Amino acid sequence: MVYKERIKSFLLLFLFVTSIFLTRQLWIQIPYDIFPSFGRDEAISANFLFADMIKPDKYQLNFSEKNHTIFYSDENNDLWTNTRIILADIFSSNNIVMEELSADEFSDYHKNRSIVFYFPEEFNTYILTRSLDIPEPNGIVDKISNIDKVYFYLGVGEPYIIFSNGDRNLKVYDPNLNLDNMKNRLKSIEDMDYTYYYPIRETLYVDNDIYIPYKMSKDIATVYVENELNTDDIEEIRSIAEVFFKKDIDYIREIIENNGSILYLYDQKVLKINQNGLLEYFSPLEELVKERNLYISLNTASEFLSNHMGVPRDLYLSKIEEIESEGNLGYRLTFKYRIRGIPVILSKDIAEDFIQIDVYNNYVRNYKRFIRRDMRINLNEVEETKPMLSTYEIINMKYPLLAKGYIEDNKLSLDLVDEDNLKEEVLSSIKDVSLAYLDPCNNKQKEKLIGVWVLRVGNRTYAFDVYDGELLFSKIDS
Amino acid sequence: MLKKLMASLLLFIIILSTSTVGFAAKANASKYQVIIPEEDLSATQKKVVLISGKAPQGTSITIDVYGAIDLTGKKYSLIKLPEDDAYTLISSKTIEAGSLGFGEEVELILGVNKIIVKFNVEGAPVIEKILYYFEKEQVERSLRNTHITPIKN
Repeated sequence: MVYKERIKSFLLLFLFVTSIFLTRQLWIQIPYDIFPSFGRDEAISANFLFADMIKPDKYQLNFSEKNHTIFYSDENNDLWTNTRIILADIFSSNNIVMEELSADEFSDYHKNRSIVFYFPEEFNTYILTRSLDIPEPNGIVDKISNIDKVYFYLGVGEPYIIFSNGDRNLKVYDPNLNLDNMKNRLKSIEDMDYTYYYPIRETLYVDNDIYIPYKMSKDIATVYVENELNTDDIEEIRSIAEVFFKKDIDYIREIIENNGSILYLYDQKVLKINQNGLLEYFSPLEELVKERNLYISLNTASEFLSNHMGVPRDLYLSKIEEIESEGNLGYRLTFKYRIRGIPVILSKDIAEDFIQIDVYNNYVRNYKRFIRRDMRINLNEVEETKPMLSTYEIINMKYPLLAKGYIEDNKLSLDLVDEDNLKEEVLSSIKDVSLAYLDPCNNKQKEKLIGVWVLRVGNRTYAFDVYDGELLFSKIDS
Repeated sequence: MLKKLMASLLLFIIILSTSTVGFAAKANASKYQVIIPEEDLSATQKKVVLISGKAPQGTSITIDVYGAIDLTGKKYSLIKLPEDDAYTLISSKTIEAGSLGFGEEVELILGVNKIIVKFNVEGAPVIEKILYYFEKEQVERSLRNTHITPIKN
């Protein structure tokens, strides 16, 4: 009798768990960063939510006045995921107290125990609150309309948050703000092995707030990638065409061009799969779009990306541009992604970036996609014997090149320039330093990514090999 | 008269040349500097510290780290520095200055560390910095062990 009851209980429990699982499948779209156990190992996710788009690309950890580090990767998104919940609370709190800070004051705050999250570009504060699922945010959005970094004070005394966009810095207190989890996380990282970063304002005596390392604590991982699309497998390509047009392949017109590219046409919509792995899609707008709305456009983009082949797990929005076409107003959204937590950049003009999507409120007009997958292989090559160079070593080695670019861009006369003043000006014009993988885009498979230091100096961007300092890529920003 | 004039001229030349030599030596010294650490004596909780400064490109620089071993953590402090012969050489590294000068991280031992930066150029200064490296737990331990005598009324 007892045995029968146990079977019944077990059956009931099983049915309950199954019902929760199926309900989640049907209705609940869970951002995959919130519950790490869901889809952590999936390379491609089908649910790309608005919340997943807005992520920082750099994390500065200030342990004390003389002890700082910067992470470019947050592989498990631990830091950001926990922070998102705190931000949601502060944006919806009714008890906040706000105070404006000067740039110098904010710079000094980096000497305190804290974490600073840097976004790849300035985001509209209201859009950030919508990504946190807050329908009616408090006065913070009125006080500071754009944000490119968020600071969390984690020292002794009352905690606070600073929202900044370079021009304005807004310090926000809330009596209910609890940053204990972040404090514990910072403490655990402090006990680990990490690279020390130093403010060049102090070490090089220049007017600049960036931090750089003088010696790296560890090397960057060797990674091989392959094209996401196997252009030699026609069946796979046809199945992609079916996804885009939501029709059986028998109803879609297929044209194979001389260069190997394949075109699919249906009802004025065009899908082109290039031999090099670039996917291009065009769909005419169904109506005139006279007013642009970023919130609607971001939602349309996330839905489109989720329903068309999914996206790499660590995709993030890197650029938002306003565009106009035949009287229609929209946005061009550019996405980058990380491999093993580090952002990837392209060296060739195969595509402007990995994903570029032109959205006009509810409609997607153009879509370009060039994704490369981490092969997670080890080719038993001889490991790099040289140690990885730090940013200081790169700048020390490549200063003449940086100075030449600065002189050209500012049309300076060499005879009139004082060497020490020039050095100070060049070093003060360094806007950003970051670590990335450069994809040479030479091979469809077994392409080795190159670790690079990306330096934004004045109007120029340089990428230097992290092992030998060779200049691999440079461009003048428009 | 001519003798007087010659003597005055000679004296003038000597004075002029002496002052030029003095000025040149001073100018050179300003090219060789240690910027970090700023203070000659300081305390740190970091095991690794940065030694950075200015020097003309291509200058060879030797950074020697000496430590006074103090197992108890009570023997020496920034107020009670060890005698010169109490220091032992911990590490020595020779580097070359680049376009920005030089910068090198060095590892300290617990207690008093003396860092000597030598610019391997004639006439260039030798710069000495003292760093006291301590752990937070060490301070807490010493505070716990301090006996406080109650004040008697």
